[in-house]
Amino acid sequence: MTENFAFTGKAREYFRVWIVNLFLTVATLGLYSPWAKVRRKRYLHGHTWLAGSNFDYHGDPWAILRGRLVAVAAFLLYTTTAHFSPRAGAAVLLVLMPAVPWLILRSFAFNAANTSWRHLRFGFEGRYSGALRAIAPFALAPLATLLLPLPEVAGRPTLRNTALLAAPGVLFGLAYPYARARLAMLHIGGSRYAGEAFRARVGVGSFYGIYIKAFFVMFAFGALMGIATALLGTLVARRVQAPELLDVAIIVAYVVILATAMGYTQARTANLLMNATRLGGLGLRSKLSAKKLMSLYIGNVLAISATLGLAVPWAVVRTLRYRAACLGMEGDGALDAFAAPRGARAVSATGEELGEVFALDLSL
Amino acid sequence: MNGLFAADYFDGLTSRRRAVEVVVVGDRIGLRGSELSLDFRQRDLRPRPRVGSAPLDIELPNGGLLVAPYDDVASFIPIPPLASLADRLERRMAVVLTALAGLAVAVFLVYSRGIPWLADVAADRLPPQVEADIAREGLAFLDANVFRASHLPAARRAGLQDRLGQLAAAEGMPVPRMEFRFGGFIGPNALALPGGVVVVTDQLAEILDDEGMTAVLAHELGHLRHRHGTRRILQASFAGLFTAAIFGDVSGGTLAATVPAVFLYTGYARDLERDADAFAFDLLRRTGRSPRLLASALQRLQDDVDRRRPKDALARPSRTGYLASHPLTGERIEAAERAAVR
Repeated sequence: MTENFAFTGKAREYFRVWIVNLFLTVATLGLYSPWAKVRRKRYLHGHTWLAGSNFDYHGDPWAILRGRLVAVAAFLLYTTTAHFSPRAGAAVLLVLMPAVPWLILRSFAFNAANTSWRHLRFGFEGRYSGALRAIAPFALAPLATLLLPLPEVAGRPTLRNTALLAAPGVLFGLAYPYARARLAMLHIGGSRYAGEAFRARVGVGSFYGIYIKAFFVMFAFGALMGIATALLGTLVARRVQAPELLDVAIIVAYVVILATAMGYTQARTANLLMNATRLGGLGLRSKLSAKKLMSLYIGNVLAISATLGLAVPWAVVRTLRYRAACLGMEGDGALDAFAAPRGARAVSATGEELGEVFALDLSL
Repeated sequence: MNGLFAADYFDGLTSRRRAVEVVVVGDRIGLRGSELSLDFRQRDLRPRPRVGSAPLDIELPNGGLLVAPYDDVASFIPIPPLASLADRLERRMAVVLTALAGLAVAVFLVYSRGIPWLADVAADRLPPQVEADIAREGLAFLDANVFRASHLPAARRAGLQDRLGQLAAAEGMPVPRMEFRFGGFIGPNALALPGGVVVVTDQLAEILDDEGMTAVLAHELGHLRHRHGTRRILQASFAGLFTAAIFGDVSGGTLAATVPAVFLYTGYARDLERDADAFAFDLLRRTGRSPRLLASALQRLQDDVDRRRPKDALARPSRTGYLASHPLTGERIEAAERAAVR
């Protein structure tokens, strides 16, 4: 059997949801944002279809509100201390770091437990140690920064000092594909639908291949954009005395380059991961085209920048439409045959309980 | 109302989808399908709020779920109004347009009034020790990365410190500490660090005479008087928080949201510069000088930039130095001239 995903949301319709959400959020000084999030996710899930049935989202806005208040407090604590003293900021980060694997697990669990299809919930179970191992490489770069005698090294631009200064960045680049691969496998491997566990096995090496290629794509594209921006900027700046125009052109170019890299890596990693994912006797099939996704993302950031954000719903809808159209399920198993785990009634509040403590959407 | 419509039924135990016919008779409904016959009271049904054009989900008292097109259900079964408040708002064009206009006004007010006000309130409550820490850390960072030791003659330094002392006395505020540095790539520049430190680069002191320096010092004193350094940091924090709060729900939009944010930050910086200029005009007048002094100091700096880069193809203001960190030179000169004739 082969079944394709489909997204049936419409930009006009989603714009209404989005603008009312945004207005109520601002009017209530952000307090409405959990309800907005639930409404947005219900719209996006509710218009995503597989085999004649749509998905749904069941997040409890109050649980999300509690999580957000904690997140806002942590954010305030960090930004203010980091602004006032880089050292104190680093100290706050060090204290928060051990909580990160736990936060990631909570976030995966909350989102999974609150997603349903055909009245059966998804779920997620993962161990702290697994999450810690996956993201530990991310800690290398900040640790290296802390160990550097910064004022001394930054003061004199010798070859040795420049190499030392670049070391944290290089470490981060080297660790990134590994951490992303491990995190993705943790996410998929810990997920389940009803009583059935997802399985995925992907070589970390293929992740490196994708990110190295992405680096070159980004580099080539960046050079191209740089030349275009410089030419355009010179022409425009000669005619009108507006230095801001060049600044805006540079930022837009930067965002476009980021979008290109995002489109490329997302298409390639999604294909790799999805095609390696199995659920019971079924396998996922993903046929995203990197070129198509890249041009989709470039169009999105240009439209969003030009409309000061008003094109966001349109961008979201057209991206999801394409991503869903490229995803399918096939295999010998049947989508009708999944059974809820024993003793668990589908609409019970287990999901909400799981996420009650922390409902961070880390969008990893 | 009595009637009949088609729906999907899920029992919550398996992922099997069962097509059923829903029979509505009086205050009861019945689900009829192959090997399936269930009856419920209408008031035991729990419809979930409707979103967009997705079908309506109705939770059943037996733990099952009934899914049917909204219009089919609504023509037979009354749906409680509270369950779909957001939905009804979204479907009204007037509401959507009001939200759009209200949002534009609200965002404008929050950024132009709310955040600066909040930053002022917070800055006034900040302990002086915190500001002193900011100044110390900030100067240490600049010393490590940008500055070199000053080679300005001691007599000139003392003279400038003296002038700053006179200005501060006229304003009745504590005399700020003055630091002299060779500016490196930030060129001719003056900085007011939170907590009462004024940094002047050698290059600036070499271009401007003592009277010109007095005008610049009056401007920097304005930054200190109104705690602009602290306010700028707080404004950036609050603006970041606000942007995250409203755009945080927009995946992918956060990236593009950086574009308007740039205008915001430069906008705040300009307001603070205008504020410090207004303070300087007033202080210069009170100490028996003309606001025009600042205009001619700015003009000298501009001339210096022009002299140094006579063949600048872009004909744009210098990217570094006093004029870059204190934007709108032309406008500021005009404002000074206006203040002088008043």
